[in-house]
Amino acid sequence: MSVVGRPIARVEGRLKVTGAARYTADLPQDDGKDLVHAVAVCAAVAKGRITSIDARQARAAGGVLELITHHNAPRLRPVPAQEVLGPAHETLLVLQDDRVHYSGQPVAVVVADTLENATHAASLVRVEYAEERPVATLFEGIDDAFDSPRYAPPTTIGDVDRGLADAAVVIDRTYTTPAQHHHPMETMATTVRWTADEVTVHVSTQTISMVRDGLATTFGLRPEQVRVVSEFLGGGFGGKAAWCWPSVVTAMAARLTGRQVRLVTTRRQMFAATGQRPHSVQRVRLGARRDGVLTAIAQDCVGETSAFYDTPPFYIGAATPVPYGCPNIRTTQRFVKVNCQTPVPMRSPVEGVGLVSVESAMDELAAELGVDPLELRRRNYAERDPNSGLPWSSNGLLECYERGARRFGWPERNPEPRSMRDGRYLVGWGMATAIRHAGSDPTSALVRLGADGRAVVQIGSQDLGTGTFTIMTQVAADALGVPVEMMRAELGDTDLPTGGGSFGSHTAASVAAAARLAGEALRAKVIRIAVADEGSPLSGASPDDVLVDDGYLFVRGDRSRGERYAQILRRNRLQSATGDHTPPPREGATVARWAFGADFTEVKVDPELGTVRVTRHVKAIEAGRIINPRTARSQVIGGVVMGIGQALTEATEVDRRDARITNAGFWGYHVPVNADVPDIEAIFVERDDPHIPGSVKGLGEIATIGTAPAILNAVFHATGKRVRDLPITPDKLL
Amino acid sequence: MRSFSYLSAPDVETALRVIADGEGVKFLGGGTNLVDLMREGIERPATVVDITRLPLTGIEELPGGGVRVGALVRNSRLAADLLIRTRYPVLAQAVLHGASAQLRNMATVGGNLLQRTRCLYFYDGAAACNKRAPGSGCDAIGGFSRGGAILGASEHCVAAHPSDMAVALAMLDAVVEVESVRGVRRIPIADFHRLPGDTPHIETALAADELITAVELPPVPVAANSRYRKVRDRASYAFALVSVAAALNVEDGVVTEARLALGGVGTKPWRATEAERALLGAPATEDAFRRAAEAELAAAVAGPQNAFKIELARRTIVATLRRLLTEGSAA
Ligand SMILES: Cc1cc2nc3c(=O)[nH]c(=O)nc-3n(C[C@H](O)[C@H](O)[C@H](O)COP(=O)(O)OP(=O)(O)OC[C@H]3O[C@@H](n4cnc5c(N)ncnc54)[C@H](O)[C@@H]3O)c2cc1C
Ligand code: SF4
Repeated sequence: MSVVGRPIARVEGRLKVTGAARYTADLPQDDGKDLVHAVAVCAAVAKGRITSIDARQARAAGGVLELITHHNAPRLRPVPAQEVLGPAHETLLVLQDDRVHYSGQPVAVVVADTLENATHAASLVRVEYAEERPVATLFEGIDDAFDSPRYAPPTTIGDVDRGLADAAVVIDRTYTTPAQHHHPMETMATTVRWTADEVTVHVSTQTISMVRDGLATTFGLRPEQVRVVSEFLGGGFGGKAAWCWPSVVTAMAARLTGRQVRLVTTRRQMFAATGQRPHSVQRVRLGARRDGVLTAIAQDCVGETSAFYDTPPFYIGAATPVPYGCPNIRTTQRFVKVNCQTPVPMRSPVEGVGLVSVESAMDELAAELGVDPLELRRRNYAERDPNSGLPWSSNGLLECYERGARRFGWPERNPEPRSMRDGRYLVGWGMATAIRHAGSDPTSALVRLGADGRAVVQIGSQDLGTGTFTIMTQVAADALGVPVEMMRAELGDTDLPTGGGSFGSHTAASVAAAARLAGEALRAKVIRIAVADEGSPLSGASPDDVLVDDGYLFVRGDRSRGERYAQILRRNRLQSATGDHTPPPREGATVARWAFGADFTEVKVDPELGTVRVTRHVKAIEAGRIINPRTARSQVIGGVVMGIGQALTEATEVDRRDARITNAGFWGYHVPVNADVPDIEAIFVERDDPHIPGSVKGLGEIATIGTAPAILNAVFHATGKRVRDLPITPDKLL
Repeated sequence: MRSFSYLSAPDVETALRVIADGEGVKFLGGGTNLVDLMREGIERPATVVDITRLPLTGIEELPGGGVRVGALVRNSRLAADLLIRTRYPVLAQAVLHGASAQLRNMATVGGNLLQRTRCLYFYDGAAACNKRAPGSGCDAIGGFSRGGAILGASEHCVAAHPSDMAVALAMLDAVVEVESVRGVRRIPIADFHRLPGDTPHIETALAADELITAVELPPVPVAANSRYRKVRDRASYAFALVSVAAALNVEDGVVTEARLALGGVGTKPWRATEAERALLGAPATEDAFRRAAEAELAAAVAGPQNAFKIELARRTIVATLRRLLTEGSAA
């Protein structure tokens, strides 16, 4: 029986709940017992030059082995972001000169025998700066905003000015979204051993191959000399997908000391270690006829990028042309250099940020026209992808609307703002559309079968905690035809067949495709062996006539003529096969591949005190076929929780005088807590997609896209007040 | 490592002797604030004296109707105590509105009274802060000051007092009992926490060698009808933007007794005496509640980022009094 599509429990669940799973920071030291600890000293100013570093006291402190500054750090070679790493990474070469570009940039690294000694010594390093006036936020630098025609070219479809001129109604609004930090539970951890032969790196990363290639490039090594391992991850949300300084400085420390070195960033340092979601200002204009049919969509965004601007920045409006069928669409983006870290992806860098304004503006348009917000979206359903003009590979959006609305009870919504109440609370219902590009990465898998009938599937991918181990196991077990208990997954090691990054909602699609190919290849291989094996009951059968069920191979029509994998393998040794998934090329595509969703949410607002609680959330998603409804549901819950944070609580607050982050800790930066999280319901609208292997579109980001704007819209419905500046804290509703 | 010595005091005498004789001695209660501050390098004690073994864990009824709470009673136990819940519901509610269950299981009454501000700049070693480094200035003024106090601030410090429990104690006229080798003192709660003035680093009337031994709650009959309301940026586990502790007695539609204290807005737990005066004898109406709130907040001073606290405090006071009137102290 097929196990794909079944809600099996996480295969690594027991290891995790019993504490047996070793995360990077918990790994026992190598046999040599020489593990030492590094602690970074981070810049206290956001812009300027280091004029002196007094490290005498620190060097003299107990247990200190090494102190690295720009004076003695190994020289690094540049790591071209686009070419080596892909887009959106901070490639600033740290500890190479006296320049400071953002507060929190590492300016020294102390290595000591214990974490306590290293921490103490780090606190003794005295750094003096010649401070310069930083650009603290994009508002301070907006006069110098610039275009990036190469990476954020304007999109122009039709004639927006005409479309606006022809409109019966025009909505013209500006929204702001704050900088946010990813804050996975596990902070960034790296352990490096550097020997003459090999550099072994244990690191909490979403992309082991990127860390390998990056380290090899910057230290002038061959990629084969670097082995990167990341078995268990405590989340990442994009922060661990980006190239970042903690791994680099840990490698420096390992090289200089010859010891195995570990560096675990503190929570405070996580505000300038792995990048952030950029602060943005988004102006949206929607033109529509009286019946709500859109005549124009224009979006003009300004986003922050780092002062040294070393990487292609995000084009947060890149998906704006996709959700609605509209003949005239234009999106532009400009950038402001700010003394902050380079923005990196955070659980949907494009749709998750850029559609907040579009989905809010759609709600404003609905209110203006007196059309139900869901009906407005239905009327603007795009029959094909407006951006590329291509037909959809599959599209379940209308069914998401329908099933989500039914489940939520949307038809009972009184359209009038402030019309629904629960005692002293105002009740608001809001919804939004979600879309997310569905893609995959080149990925290789190997499946191996032993004489005990047990198999292992290996892919150099990573499991963020999302369920990659589990779905790999399921898909490979089905492909080979063995019970799921007989299949084991291995991942997170560059010694394994190369996988892609765990980001962009690509992992499930990539890993499943490769695991399936490898499993099927191995099944075919063993069948060929069996039919040629005189000792086998299958001997002489045509390979096409051999079926496999539950690890038992038999001839079609005669179940008694067969034997188990284990029996074949006992005579024929260990067998393995590989599978290589190559994603369809983007150029020359004949279809547009997207996942779809619809969020429906209920909020209760205390009109007197301005507090907002989300009390119910229904999210319907069409992401092709769901490999495991249980891990999928858990993805959706996590995504909705992040959306609640985005809408109501999370913002990184910068002191506009000196560009330093003020709320660098968990009691200042508010992620939602259990009490903020309501009952969340996930509905999966399943679709077969002939253009996508296994019909797997990916869930990681669609799980959160749409949630924040739905909440914003619900708050308007509850209160009649439109907040266009996220997050909606109580003060904004007074 | 910055080392310190650790001693677990077997009895009060030892604890008092060690702190009287030593330099840089700090008591360790639940450690939920002290240990964090040590990690951040803000507190750097030479010796930490663990006082959790001291026999100061009782909650006893006093003759005359008051209650004496030992300084080492954990916050969770205080909130769960039947005597407290019936005589001083406001106190049980205030404690339950603070921190998280895990923290409350550790936190002690004495430690809670002495917890230090959550001003973001106080925690940032690179920022100027008169409270942390006297004379260095105050980066909160003119900075990101959304959390700042609107009552009792000075040009030297605008940090809000973070405790919820202490707001209820202020409302209840609690008395803090302290002891040193020199003897026992009883400090009314109103005098216990100090306004920052030009010495924001001196936060309480407690002398360096004194141990808090107990908090005495006087009989406050009106407190049987009392409640605590806290407004914060998320549903739980966040410090107050504004909080209100209130008790009310109404006869024939007229307020015969009223007690009010505010959290999140004052540089110390803020007894709202002006509001109380305005309420006394006034009709128990929305209008009168608003006037009382305005009387208290007339002295409020805010910057652009925390100006909302004035309006929010006004509304929270009114909302709390109204609910007290309609629902009593039911949580
Ligand atoms: C994440 C977080 C969130 C929080 N949220 C809230 C909140 O919402 N509301 C709120 O009110 N509080 C909150 N708190 C603060 C919490 O209430 C305090 O940390 C706690 O009450 C302190 O008690 P303790 O026993 O752990 O004190 P300790 O940390 O042990 O001590 C604090 C100070 O008091 C001194 N001390 C302790 N006992 C005595 C004594 N008997 N005599 C003399 N000196 C003594 C110590 O030397 C130290 O200086 C939060 C704390 C954290 C970490
Ligand atoms: S408000 Fe007080 S605690 Fe905050 S920085 Fe100023 S002096 Fe320090």
